Amino acid sequence: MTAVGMRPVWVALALTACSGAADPEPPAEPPAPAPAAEAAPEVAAESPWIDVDATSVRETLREHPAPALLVNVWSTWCEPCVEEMPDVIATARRYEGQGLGLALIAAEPPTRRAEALSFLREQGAPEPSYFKTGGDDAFIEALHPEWSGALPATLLLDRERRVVHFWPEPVDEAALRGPIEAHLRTARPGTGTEAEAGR
Amino acid sequence: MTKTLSIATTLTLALTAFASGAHAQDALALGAQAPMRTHRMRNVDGQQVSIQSAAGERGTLVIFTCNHCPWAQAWEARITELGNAALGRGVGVIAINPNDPGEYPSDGFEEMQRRHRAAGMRFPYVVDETSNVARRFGATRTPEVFLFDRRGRLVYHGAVDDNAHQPDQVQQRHLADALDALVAGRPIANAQTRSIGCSIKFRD
Repeated sequence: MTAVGMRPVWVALALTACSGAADPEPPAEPPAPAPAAEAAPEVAAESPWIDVDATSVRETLREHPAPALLVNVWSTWCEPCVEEMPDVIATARRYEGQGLGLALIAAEPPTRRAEALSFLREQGAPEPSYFKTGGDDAFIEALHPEWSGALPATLLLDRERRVVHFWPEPVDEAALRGPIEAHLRTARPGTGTEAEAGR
Repeated sequence: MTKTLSIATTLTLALTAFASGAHAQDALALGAQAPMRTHRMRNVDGQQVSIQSAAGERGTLVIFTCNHCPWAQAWEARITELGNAALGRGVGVIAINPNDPGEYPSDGFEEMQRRHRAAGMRFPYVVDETSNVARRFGATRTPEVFLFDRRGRLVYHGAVDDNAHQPDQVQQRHLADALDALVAGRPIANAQTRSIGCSIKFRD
């Protein structure tokens, strides 16, 4: 699996090397393997981001394999977003086995991808994660017409990516749990009830 | 048991639906008058100012903003420039900070005075001491602007423009266009817009 996973990396490296775009510095140093190895993560690693804008965000969320999706729009510049992130991630993880996925969308200034990524990795967030690009207004409308644009914003989407619940305010695990559990029960009729009835 | 659960689920869903609908309904509608127009608020110069006293003969621009929010900061120079220019065109301007400085100490009065001075705002920057003005407007974030015409009717609500962080890449100058249209007596083409911003930290 690892070997297969690595192949595109080397292909990408080779292509980049051929195009000459990899390293703008003059070739002062001998072409030792060390610099190439150092360059590898930057040049060839699978991007940790999926960019989304107003026109692509809905379709991109549809491509997520999870039958239900918790979407959280956040930024490292938004304190309540940063504060709630551990709860958002922990809650998503708790219901992962019942079909809940997590899509974190960074509404971050474009110059701060590195900071956003480092925060996500500290938090143990799933990758790839989503990065908002382009204008705000149409993006907000595309994600949810009832959203004002205030951060943080969290949504629960069903299999068809319709909005099941919208939290236009900071959340914690307790606030998330009810709507998620209610949806997961109705999304798989019978399962939860039978388990309960059998007790 | 099944029945009880299904009732519980229905109830939860009903409550959920109610809760999710309850938030976004409150924003001031186009055509509405500004609420709390005569409510006096403390300006950075220590004077008491109301929306009414800040009103201009051609209209009034109400800007909910604050000190700590990176989006408010990113737009601050543009807000100052547009606001100062509006004053010269007969449009009154008032910036209102609704945030609880208990949540963000940098949203306190002295920092308001500092930012007001540093930015060169020539319009008042006042404290919404209960956050009730923002509540009554249905404002949710900073910055968020409301523009009223000379008869006090809301004609534009929303964003300053469509790119907080890259002023040179702005494509839609929403507020500037709205001000131009207002002053020229033309209808405002894009009267409601939205932007990413910081949730208002309402006082309890």
